[in-house]
Amino acid sequence: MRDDLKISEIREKYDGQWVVVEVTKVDKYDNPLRGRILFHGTNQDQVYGDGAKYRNAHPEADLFFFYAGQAIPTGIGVMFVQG
Amino acid sequence: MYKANRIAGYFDYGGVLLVPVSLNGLRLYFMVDSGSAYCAINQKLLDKIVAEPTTEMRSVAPLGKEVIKTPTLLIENFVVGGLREKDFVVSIVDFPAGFQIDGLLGMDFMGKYRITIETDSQTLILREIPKKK
Repeated sequence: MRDDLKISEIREKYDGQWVVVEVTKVDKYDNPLRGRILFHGTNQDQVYGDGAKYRNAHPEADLFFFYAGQAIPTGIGVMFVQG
Repeated sequence: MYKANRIAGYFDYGGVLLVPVSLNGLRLYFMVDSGSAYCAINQKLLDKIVAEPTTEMRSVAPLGKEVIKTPTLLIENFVVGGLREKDFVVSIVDFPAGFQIDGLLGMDFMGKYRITIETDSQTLILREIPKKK
């Protein structure tokens, strides 16, 4: 039984948490499809910090850091403009 | 036929598209923003990315705010859907509280391609621009 999950499954399972995932499968365009959870939690600094330490210790690891939840607060329409 | 690279992402609140990008080998979700001149990274990530700050400061104009200067970061390998930019400069920005966004994918990257957003598949498509004869 494989211990990795689809990225979409990770986003559902860890909804509302920050995650660090080791990517185990990519598509033909090198987009991540599946991965194994390394760290997760609600404190971004803690989770990403643990991920950064892991990356330093395992520079060959293919890591994906992201927020597994709704990134934009409900009711707020984004209009960022730079230029 | 010109090559097309498909970058599957997901729609977040309000229908904004987030897609995976890679900065010096570290993968993150960036928000696709055709209204942004520059790609940008959240300041919170600075100590997590292995990259060199530059001396370049950029003037940016957040909507409805004063023009501000932002610092920048030199990314040796900036990759989206297998398409790579070497020594690519990104702005360093703060996002409003409550926004869990790691960065913006702006037109300084996307403008090098023909871009399509496939809303039904939540996918960004980048196509080579045909060379003029």
